[in-house]
Amino acid sequence: MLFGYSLLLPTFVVFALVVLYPIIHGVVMSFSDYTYITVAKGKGFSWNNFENYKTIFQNGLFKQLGTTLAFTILTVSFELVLGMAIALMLENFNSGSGLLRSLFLMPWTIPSIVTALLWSWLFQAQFGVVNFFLSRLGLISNANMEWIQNPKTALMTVIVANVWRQTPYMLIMLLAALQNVRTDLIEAATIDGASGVAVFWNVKIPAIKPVLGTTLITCVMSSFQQFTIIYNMTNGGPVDKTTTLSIGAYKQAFTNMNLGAGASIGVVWMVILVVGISIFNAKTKRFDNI
Amino acid sequence: MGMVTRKKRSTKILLWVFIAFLLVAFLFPIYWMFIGSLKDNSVLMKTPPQLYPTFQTVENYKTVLTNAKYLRYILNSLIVATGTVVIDLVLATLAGYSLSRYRYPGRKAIMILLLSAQIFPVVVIIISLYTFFRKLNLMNSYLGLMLADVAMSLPLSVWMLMSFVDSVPKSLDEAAHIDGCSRYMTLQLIVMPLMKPGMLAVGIYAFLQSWDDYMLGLVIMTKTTMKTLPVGIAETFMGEFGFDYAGMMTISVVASLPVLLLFLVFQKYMVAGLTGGAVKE
Repeated sequence: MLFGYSLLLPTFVVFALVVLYPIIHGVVMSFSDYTYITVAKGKGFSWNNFENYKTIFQNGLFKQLGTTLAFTILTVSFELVLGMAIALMLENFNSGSGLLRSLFLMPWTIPSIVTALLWSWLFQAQFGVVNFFLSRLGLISNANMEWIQNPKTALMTVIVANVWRQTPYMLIMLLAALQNVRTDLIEAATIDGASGVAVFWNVKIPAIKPVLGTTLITCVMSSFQQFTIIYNMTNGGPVDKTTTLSIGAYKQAFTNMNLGAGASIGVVWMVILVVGISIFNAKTKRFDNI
Repeated sequence: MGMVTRKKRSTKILLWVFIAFLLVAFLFPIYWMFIGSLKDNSVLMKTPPQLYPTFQTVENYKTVLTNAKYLRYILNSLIVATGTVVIDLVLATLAGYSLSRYRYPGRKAIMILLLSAQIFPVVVIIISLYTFFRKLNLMNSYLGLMLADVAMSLPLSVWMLMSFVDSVPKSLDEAAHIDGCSRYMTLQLIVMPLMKPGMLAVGIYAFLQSWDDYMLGLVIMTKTTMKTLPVGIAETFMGEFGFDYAGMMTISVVASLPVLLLFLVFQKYMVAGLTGGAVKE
């Protein structure tokens, strides 16, 4: 037992120092005056009567929360539909599915900063290829349509970029799960006259439910965390239309130099995710049988 | 019967068309990046765009790869990513083995903590580290960024290796023990060689994660000589060179190619490592 602990110790120390302590420190500091100035002066904790929380409520916290939820729900829905569709198709191919899988996984290795640059270029108003294709297909009348700078479409552009990069992750998880479904169950259902659609809903989906749950949670949380793509494509704009909690917290902390207010956005975010996951867990019992 | 096969064949063709369409949609941006890096800005800013590749100019690559600033960013990224991989592997191998083989109070708590680590906002962590690292003199230091990067990849790394050790028969440990191996020797000589595929997967995962990091590097590395590639790229092309699309695509290829190749060569291990833990249950 002691040997077991000793092997775990280094991991625990690093995790405690670089994750747990900063999180607890962040929660504490969300109730304190905590700015570049107080840090430079070396001042410690000083209770400030929810001043940080007042600041973030007055600076569009609810709007940021709404943007984050819209971004997350849309991103994960598109990823789920696309990932599932591609996984089901690849599952049907006996030959060449390995090569196809490699090709579909490629966007996932492209660094986030490159994803941001690349999609900024694709969506570029004058020379961007998105406008070229869409106007050739007759889908848009304005061939120089602004996508990223337009308040109505900005959020959509960062969602597209994020979906492009993250769908491959959804795909490998779902494909691995589908390939693990017992073939005798599928055969039995097919012999009993079940259609492909019925087999999908009644045999495959129940069988892959645990993996589906884990993968969805992972994608939801990483969408909440998404910073690089949004910050570099839109910088949270135009008119804060793409300012998610992640962007809002960063800007409060490092642009407005109010670290406490930034931390308090993070505290709100953790509360929301913990409540959300508890509800999810109560329904699916996901974390009960570790 | 004939109708059924015909129906099957037409479904198959439809499937091919659909899959080809999606494949083109997913790969087009990567194609566009590569061919953009081989074109001149004067060509890129033409309408309608030139959709086919041309191979006349490697000027863009010369410009990027002879620029000392970029070389420094690349070197910094390589140092940080390599260090991250080493630290992450040592920690996760020991911890993964421990969590898989030993039963002790607090084990379940640690596992739940690792599993739910993604809830913690990275932005809060970096807000706190900003003060904490200043006190410890870890700002603008490789070790500081490595530690922060390790913390990001550690939870999944431990989880992946734990699942991996679960698949190594316990009887091997017991046999080694009877033969007089100490517990540490059992890990190093018997189990670790069998863990190699898992460790490879974790190593690549940690490398990709560190190579991709932007926010931690942005806050921790403020000196120009210490900046990592993603931060350097963002600073250059979101600012004064915002219209140098050729340069943008070239540096994009330079930043993507190492990880793309790494992934293509080792993807079998990566996929097995990532899906293993989740799918097995």
